[in-house]
Amino acid sequence: MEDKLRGYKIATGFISFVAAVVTLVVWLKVPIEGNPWHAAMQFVVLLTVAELLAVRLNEYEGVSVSPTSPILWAATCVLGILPAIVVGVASAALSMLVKCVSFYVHQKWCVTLENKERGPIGAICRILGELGATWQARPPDVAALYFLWYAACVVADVGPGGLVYYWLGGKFLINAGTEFQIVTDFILPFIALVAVSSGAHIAEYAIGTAAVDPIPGTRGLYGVLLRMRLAIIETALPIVKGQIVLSVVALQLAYLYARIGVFGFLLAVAPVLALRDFFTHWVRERDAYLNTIATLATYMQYYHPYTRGHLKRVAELSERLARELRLPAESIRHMSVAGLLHDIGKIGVSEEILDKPSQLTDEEWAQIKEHPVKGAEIISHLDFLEGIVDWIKYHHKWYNGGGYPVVDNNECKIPIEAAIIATADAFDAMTDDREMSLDWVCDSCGYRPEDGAKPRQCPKCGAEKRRRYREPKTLDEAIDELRRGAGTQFDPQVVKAFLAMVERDGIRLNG
Amino acid sequence: MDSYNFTPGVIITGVLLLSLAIFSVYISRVYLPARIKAAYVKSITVLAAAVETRDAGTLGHAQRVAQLTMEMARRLGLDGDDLDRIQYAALIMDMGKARVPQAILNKKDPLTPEEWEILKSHPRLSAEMVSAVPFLADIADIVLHHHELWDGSGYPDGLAGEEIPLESRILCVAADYDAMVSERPYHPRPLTPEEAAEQIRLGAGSKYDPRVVEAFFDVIGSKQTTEQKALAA
Repeated sequence: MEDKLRGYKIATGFISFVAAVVTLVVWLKVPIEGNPWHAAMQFVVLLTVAELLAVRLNEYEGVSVSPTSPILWAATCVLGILPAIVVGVASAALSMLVKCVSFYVHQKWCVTLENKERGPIGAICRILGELGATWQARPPDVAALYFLWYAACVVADVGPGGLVYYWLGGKFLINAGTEFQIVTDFILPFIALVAVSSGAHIAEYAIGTAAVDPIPGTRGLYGVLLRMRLAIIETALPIVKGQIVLSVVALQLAYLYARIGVFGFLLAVAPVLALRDFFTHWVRERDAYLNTIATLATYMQYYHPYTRGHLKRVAELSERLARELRLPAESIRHMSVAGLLHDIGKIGVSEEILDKPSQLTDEEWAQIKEHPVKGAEIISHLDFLEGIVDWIKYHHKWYNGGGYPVVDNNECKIPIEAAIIATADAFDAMTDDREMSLDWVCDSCGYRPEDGAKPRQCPKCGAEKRRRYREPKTLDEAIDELRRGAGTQFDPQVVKAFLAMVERDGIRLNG
Repeated sequence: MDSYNFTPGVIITGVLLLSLAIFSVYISRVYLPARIKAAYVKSITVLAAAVETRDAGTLGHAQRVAQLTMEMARRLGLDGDDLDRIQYAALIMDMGKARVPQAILNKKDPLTPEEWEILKSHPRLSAEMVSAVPFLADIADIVLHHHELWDGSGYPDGLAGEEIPLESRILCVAADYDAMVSERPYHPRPLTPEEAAEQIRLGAGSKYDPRVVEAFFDVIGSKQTTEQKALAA
């Protein structure tokens, strides 16, 4: 935590310095024409409202349609650079104030009312709760730092973009009247503005991530650069994609505002609200769908009582490993579903084979070995899960090409997600006390204790309970085994992440 | 800025923005639900088929039953959401068999009373499964009672007559018909469609709801006429 705060401070200091330089250049080089401040007030209100409306959306991974930058781009073209910077900083302060106040008001008065009241009071409470949700009781110094970071980013985004707009001959529409060439004086410089500003945004994002959330085990400049590369590839680009879509709206917003004033806002806000509605809807429906399918498919695998705990633990562990390895948000989201479904191909294998205490015959082995391919076949027919088919197919494939299914090793590239599931699966199988996780039933008289006890001898008929297949390994033994298998059975990268994770956060056996 | 300039540019931009808004509303309210529903039907069909691989001879059972059930339900005046619910119920009703040992599912000899008890627990297991999913919780009752018979001799609760949900009564007829015409370990040879239909007719009023049986014959009859027409043509 301390480390994170320190990284945050360094990054904020750096961006603030850049922002100050940019502001100075703008102040000296770009004259403010006319009196844009009245219009700037209107933009502050618009931007604050838009930021508060977007509160919900930013929670969702993978989809980001933050309206801040596009509205500031429009403000830059309409008002001028310095007024746009003022608009950005002022509305950041205003929306943060609203969030902070909502958080404390909600905490003090609304927590109980929220669920009790059905009418307008309950609704207000819920809205306050939503607005305050991103605030999280920050201590004052962290809140100040957060504000500084945010404001500096706004300036470092808009400033360079605005300067490029100005130097390319873009006109500030509020003073341009009707005598401007729409393409050369507005649209072309605007495209340059979006490009520069998006570039700056990605850079800030990368710097912030590298400072706050470095890759474990990497240090120094190389580590920072590595982290920045990852951040840019995996998270910043989707954000920017969303912004570029919204920049079309911003272009029209600027034009409409210059022509018909505040009415332009209303026209431009409609599609933004509709898009927001679409994304919320989409994310909610998709999550409900994934949840339904995962629950059904998990339940289907309960033919064998020990699987219940095993599947959950593999899912949880795989997701943690994916986070540890900083995989893309999409992979992390699907990791737990994949963990729950990885053995679904076993559905057709009979319990007699799965439970057989003695050595399996070749035929029985062949049946078991088919399960990754069968599972992949089932999953390939499930909508929205096409991405995890190969994860399931190769979760018994070894890093060195061994294991099953047998495929041409030159063509088979095991996805890292499959290696993660393989490691989590093997670790859990090693440490799992299978017999202990079965419901205890006496083999000879069928007696089942009410209290969930697992005695060695049946209290009713006195029969010995059959022995375990084998003793479960301790944590240290299991870790040793993973370490030995790294490079042959297991992917060394995954094992390394696993060890780092266990050392840092510990691990729960047999949840 | 002093006057509002509704130039053609402004009007075109405004129309563009509004149509973007209307388009996204259309996508999220009309296209998306249809897409998601198709995904549900497809995925649940696949999962049901996966469970059927445990049980020799039932492959495709759920899908065929779902089709027959939907047609019967339509004739009995169900529509919209009710029709969706009965489709999901038909696909899911036997998924509880995932927890019945394969040795029992595939046994050729008559089952012992204990084994019968285990097999008869499958509607309860299926119902338990769907109640774990918020999206499907409201079909739990239909699934639970799909082996209840009109005269009260079915399982698990021995409900009779109108106590059994209508959807379950429909499912019961469709599932029994499909079981009779397909190969199963417990009967020596499948019945022909005519023989099976005769069995259903005999069961009307005792095992099956007469009204549902009527709808069943409507469906079967119209199928035969279409087939005859196809042959004639």
